[in-house]
Amino acid sequence: MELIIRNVNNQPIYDQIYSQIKAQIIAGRLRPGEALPSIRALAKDLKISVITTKRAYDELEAEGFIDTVAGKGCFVAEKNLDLIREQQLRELESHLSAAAALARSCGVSRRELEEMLDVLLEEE
Amino acid sequence: MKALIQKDVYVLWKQMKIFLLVMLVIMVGNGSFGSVFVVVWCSMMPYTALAYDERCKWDQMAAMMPYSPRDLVLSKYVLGWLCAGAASAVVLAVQAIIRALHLSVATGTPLAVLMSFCASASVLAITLVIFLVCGAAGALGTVTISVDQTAGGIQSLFGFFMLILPVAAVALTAVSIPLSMRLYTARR
Amino acid sequence: MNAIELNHIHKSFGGFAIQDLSLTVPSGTICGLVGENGAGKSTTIRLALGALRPDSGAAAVLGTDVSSPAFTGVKEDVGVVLDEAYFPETLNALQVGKILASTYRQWEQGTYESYLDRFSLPVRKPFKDFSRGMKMKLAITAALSHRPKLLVLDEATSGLDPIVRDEVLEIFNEFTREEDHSILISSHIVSDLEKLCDYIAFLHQGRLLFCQEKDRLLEDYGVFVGTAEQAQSLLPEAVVGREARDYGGVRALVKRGMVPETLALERPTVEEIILFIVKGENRR
Repeated sequence: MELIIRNVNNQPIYDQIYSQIKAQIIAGRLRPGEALPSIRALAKDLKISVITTKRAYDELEAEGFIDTVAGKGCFVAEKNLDLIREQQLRELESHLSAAAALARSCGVSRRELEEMLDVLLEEE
Repeated sequence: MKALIQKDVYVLWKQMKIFLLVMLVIMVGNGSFGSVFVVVWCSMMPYTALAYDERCKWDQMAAMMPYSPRDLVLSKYVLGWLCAGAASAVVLAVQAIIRALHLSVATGTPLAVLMSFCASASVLAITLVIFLVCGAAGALGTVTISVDQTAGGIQSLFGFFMLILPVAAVALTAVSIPLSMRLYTARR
Repeated sequence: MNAIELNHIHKSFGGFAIQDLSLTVPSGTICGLVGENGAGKSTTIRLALGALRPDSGAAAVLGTDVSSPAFTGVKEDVGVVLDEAYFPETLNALQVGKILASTYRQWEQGTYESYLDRFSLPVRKPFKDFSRGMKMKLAITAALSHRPKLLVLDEATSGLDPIVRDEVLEIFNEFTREEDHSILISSHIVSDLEKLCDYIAFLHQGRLLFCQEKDRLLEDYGVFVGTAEQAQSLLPEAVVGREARDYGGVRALVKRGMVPETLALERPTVEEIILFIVKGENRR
């Protein structure tokens, strides 16, 4: 598992951990059933506060990405396809709405936008 | 509590060694008055220990360590008793040694050894020594007895005498050993 | 069970008083006590460990009230490093080791010796010939060698050079890998605490101004940098403290929640937060 905490922007540390782990689970780099380091071990290895790692894990668990087994530790939850799909749809929607807003602001018509999309999709 | 006493002994050790030396001199000079004085002085050790403690703020440190208040207080008393006990033991031991010296064997032996290396008149030498020893013992026998009976004015005279004798014994021994060695090697 | 619990402690000396101090150090966490010299950090530590009796209020360590006779036994599990109070200076490390072996039930001579080695401390040199840094290292060594559950460190890193300080902080970090190990560490070097601590407690003139999760503190505040006019547009309640710089610049510590989200703010350090708060307090 790869986790890099950066101080560059104002993103809170717990959020960085949460986002990076989530991204890796979605991308499949962390497999279902795989054990995650304990809250305490992670904190000490990264030299950050235990409270922060706990917060990140709590959020991941609340959203169903990881499970905590009492006495054993934290594990990646079974891939919940619906959940992931929803995530991806949401992300797509936000990209599209950004594109739409940009188009509006520089006067690109709907037709021109659709043409652009066709060209791009064909490239795939 | 053992730890606290250990600490005080370590801290006071150097002091105790110097003190031992001073003690020997006083004791030899003043006889039994000296011995009692020394024992009383030794039981003042805890106060010295307390002074050292104060200097490094030990009590602040000790308050954080698992010593009970009973341990902290009692250890100083025990230290005092131990010091007094040790002092008494040393006093008795030294007095015994001095009495042994008073038999002037120490005075006689170096002379005898010296002579036997020099001449084969060793038998004569030893006879001489025996006379010396007995005579001296006789004279000093009275001295030893008077000192043991805490007498007043006689003490200072014999005290001086008693100081001289062991010192002379040690000095003679110290001189005769290298002298003997030189004579021995010369003969070879 | 909390590692340390202070409840409404009051203690006054001639010109100085600790007022209504309530502080909790949860088990398994590292709490940093910050404050300027004379703020009461050492006093707080002594009150917390029963070395001083408070005028009112109660203190408990590892679940035991510090004024009870049972607390003497609990001290076996507490490792302490104090500022300016050490072992008698005529002793050397070897002798200190022997004394502590007779003091603590769970003394580990092997651990002691390995730390002495790690810190390159001479075994037979008397304490009075040690530099301040060496004295600190010996005190830390002694505190770590009897399997403590709680470390209480008063200015344990001041007097150490940055490299050694880093090493020592790493040792403290490792100490809390165990779930039931906690640390209370006081320092006026805020940057050390910033690296290490889970909680920051700020003591100012005998009062505890806050005890907050360190990361939340850094999330809740931001530093605004701009012109004086821009600074005027900020809500007064949002501004904790401000500082005018030469050539027209203004730096202000603001509460993120109370300023527009789009406003560009710099990430503060704990030290800056504290400095701004103190300046704000002093103005009041």
